[in-house]
Amino acid sequence: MGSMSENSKDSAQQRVDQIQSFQRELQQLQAESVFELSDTQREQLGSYHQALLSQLKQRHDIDTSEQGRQLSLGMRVVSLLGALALAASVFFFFYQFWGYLHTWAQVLLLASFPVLGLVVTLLLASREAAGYFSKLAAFTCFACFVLNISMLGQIFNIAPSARALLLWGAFALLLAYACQLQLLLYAGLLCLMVFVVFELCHWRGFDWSSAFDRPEDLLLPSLAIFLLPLFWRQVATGFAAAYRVMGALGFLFTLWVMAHLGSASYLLWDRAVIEGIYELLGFAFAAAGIWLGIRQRWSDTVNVGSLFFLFFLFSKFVDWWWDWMPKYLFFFVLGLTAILALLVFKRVRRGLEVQEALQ
Amino acid sequence: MKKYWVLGLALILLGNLLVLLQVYGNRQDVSGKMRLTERELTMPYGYRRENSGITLQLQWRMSYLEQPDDDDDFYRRRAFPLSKVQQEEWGLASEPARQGYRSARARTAYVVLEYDGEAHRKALAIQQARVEEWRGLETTEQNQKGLERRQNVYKHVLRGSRLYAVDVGLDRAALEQRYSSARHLILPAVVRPRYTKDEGWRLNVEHLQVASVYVPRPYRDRLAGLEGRRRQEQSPRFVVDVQWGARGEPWVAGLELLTVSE
Repeated sequence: MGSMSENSKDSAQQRVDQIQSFQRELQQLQAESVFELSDTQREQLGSYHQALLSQLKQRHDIDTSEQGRQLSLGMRVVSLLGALALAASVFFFFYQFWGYLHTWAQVLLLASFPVLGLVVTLLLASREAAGYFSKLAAFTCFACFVLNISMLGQIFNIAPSARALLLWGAFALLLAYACQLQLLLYAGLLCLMVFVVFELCHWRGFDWSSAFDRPEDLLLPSLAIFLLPLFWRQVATGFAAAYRVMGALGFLFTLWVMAHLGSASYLLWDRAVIEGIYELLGFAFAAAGIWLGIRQRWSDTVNVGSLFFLFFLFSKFVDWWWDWMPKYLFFFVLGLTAILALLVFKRVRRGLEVQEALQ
Repeated sequence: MKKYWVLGLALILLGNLLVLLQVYGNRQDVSGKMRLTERELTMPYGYRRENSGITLQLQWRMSYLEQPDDDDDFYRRRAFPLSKVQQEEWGLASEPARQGYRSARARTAYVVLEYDGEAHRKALAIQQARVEEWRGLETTEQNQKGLERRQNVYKHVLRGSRLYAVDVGLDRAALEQRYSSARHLILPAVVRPRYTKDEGWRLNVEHLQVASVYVPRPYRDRLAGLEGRRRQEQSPRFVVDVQWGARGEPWVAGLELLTVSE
């Protein structure tokens, strides 16, 4: 019973939602006398769906009601807050007592925290269907590893290095894939992107603290992260979107910064020219992100593209009008622009619906 | 799940091993050692209820390499002037002189710190002369305030850190040849060139790569009774033997409390 595609919790939840939508639509059709099932068919369908739902609920601990879904959302929030609190507790616990320990004891304790965290996380991940406790443990484990490396640096007075980011990023990704935790995936990708920028700076002979003096170094790593899901298929729900969001955010944010900070560019041209070029690129890439997102049905990319298109547009309005236009008029024009954008999106959506109907 | 176990443990072990190997490599070669008092190594601010560890901060100043202006601010970090030869050594001669806050990117270089040497005596002499200058002025309220400010700066120099940055360079070996006395320390620092129309290219020492030193047990126990930072009029309360390794990373090799004024 059930197909192979219901092996993950997310796909199981999708199947449940599908069944419930089907049942609601069937009821509606019967009420409007459009379609009627025979008693035998109704009984067969009903017992099949009931058995499937109870099997999926037992295997994956999914929600079969709206109230259950609301409660699950609340549990996720509580899990996140609990993880943050536990992580802070670990930090402060160590700070409270580290001064009383000899160096060898400090090293042992610091190394054992993430090992213990890893044991607990992976045990919970293998036994718990819902994943709330394993996700909480995963966050805490990650915090322990960050504490481990950073405190060793303090104890032995080590010069700060960007290479710690590589270790933390890799560990965050490992935990993210083990527990299917999107938030740790974001944290891991952020660590790795920043590490790449710092290392590029270091290879060029500069100190990593001046890495963001040239924000353009972030462009290529962001693009690489955006394109990665095309070459490496992501099974876990939301992971492909996470790569696209991080990549798009990094890329478009860099273009936005360069559109205002031409003096930080590698290009040795006039500052106004550099900023103008980056403005045009920003509009073009934001629009391209919206187009690509609509075409590929990537709502995440559409959202990021739309957000930055508006950022670029509003920045332009500020450059043109802020100094001389009365403020009430300025914000009125912003509001009108938002209304115009809504009308444009509405028209685009109608066009897409017509296209889908014709297919 | 098994692969996550293996990879996770491997990452944790690798991270810790890399750090410990780095520490071992640093301590194999002692590149500098110095006996510094609380004037140069200050305690952390405030009450340490939530943090039982003690990390001392290394205090240092810029030396007066040129005659200062009348309105020179002793506390402001002055920049090292650069000759044409030095500009080429730093690859700055061909770089366009961009105005603004960040005209060039920060690099890791080596700064030479001199302990209780000519730079400290020169700073004392300059501040003493300033005090005398202000004493000689007409007694007005404004001049009185100016005199008090000058006296405070003089006391700060007299009782504060005796470590002064006297030189900076990219080639550590060349600096070691030039500054080989026990009074000199050569430490890695983050340095940023900056350009202005009036002064040309100069080097700002933004900060030392490692400007603090953690005090391990049993030395930490000797400091446990001391609360907060020493006040300016107080004598230093301890002296620390600090050693620096091949990577310029320090460690505490000895610590004694001082019972009499220095």
